[in-house]
Amino acid sequence: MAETNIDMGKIKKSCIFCKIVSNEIPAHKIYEDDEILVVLDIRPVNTGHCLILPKEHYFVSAQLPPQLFGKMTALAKKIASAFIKEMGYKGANILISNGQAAGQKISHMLIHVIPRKEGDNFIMKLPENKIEDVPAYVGELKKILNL
Amino acid sequence: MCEICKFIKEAALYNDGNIAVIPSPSPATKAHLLVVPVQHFTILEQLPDNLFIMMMAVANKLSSLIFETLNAEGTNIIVRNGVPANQHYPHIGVEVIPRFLNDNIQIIWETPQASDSELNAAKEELLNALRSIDEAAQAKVKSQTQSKALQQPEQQVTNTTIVAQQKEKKENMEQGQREKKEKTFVLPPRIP
Repeated sequence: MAETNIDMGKIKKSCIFCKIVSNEIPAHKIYEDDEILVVLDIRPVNTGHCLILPKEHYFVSAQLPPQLFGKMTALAKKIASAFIKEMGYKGANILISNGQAAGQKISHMLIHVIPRKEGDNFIMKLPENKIEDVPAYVGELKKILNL
Repeated sequence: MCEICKFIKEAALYNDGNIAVIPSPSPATKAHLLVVPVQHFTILEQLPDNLFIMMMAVANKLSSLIFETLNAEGTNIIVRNGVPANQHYPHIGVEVIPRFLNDNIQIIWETPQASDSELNAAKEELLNALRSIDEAAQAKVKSQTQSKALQQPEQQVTNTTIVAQQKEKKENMEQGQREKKEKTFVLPPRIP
């Protein structure tokens, strides 16, 4: 990604999550430290649906410093546990969408932590293909991934 | 045998003893990958925090790798924990899925905007829930520290100790000894 050609100042000025970080737009904050902000999604799948945001504007998860990403994932796990152990949910999704094709709507990378219950409005449809020849497929993937 | 455990044995792309990368046995797309704990854990709550953080780090690396090598237009990193969350296999894992415009994958929700009072109530409920999680973790650390003080000096949990502990656990199992599930991974790190 050619970030060097991108005017980050301009992007931050128009980014809704950067505005939430800078308190220009109010949000329901759940957690905050120097690097991370956790807020409630205003269009929750179910009560408690959270967004874990890096305060800095990153486009996709690959750009995050590993330590920051680690802190965010630890928070995601803790929030998912709270949904299940304390709030009566029987399931939770942790979701990162990198890129529009993956469902990312705003260019500020974030982690969704979504409490789930049967019959809610979250649709997750993943086709289930069969692997015809497992060893051949593994060989092909190793080649693709250079492993 | 668990299908994921079987794939870890027979079709691993990577395995460091703690974490394995396998192809999804029922891939949504080509190179739909799973990052899984080698030890069988069914749900996220059973998974030690350290191990989950490492799995997510691996998933993030794989995500950029498949994005580049497959010329994908996006990637998803997903945890499906629990049947209502569409968990597919009874072995918890992190999925990495390359995405293309107009592929057959749907991960969507169209839910109405919540009112301010609903969000305030949700905030209070979640903050209380997180407080209870903190208190439980503190109580656990406290009891572990107390019992440890009697037995052995403080031990830092690192990658190596997890490996060592797993090895020891394996040996114990081979000797037919009974062991408690949570014993292997001491001291969940406290998240702020």
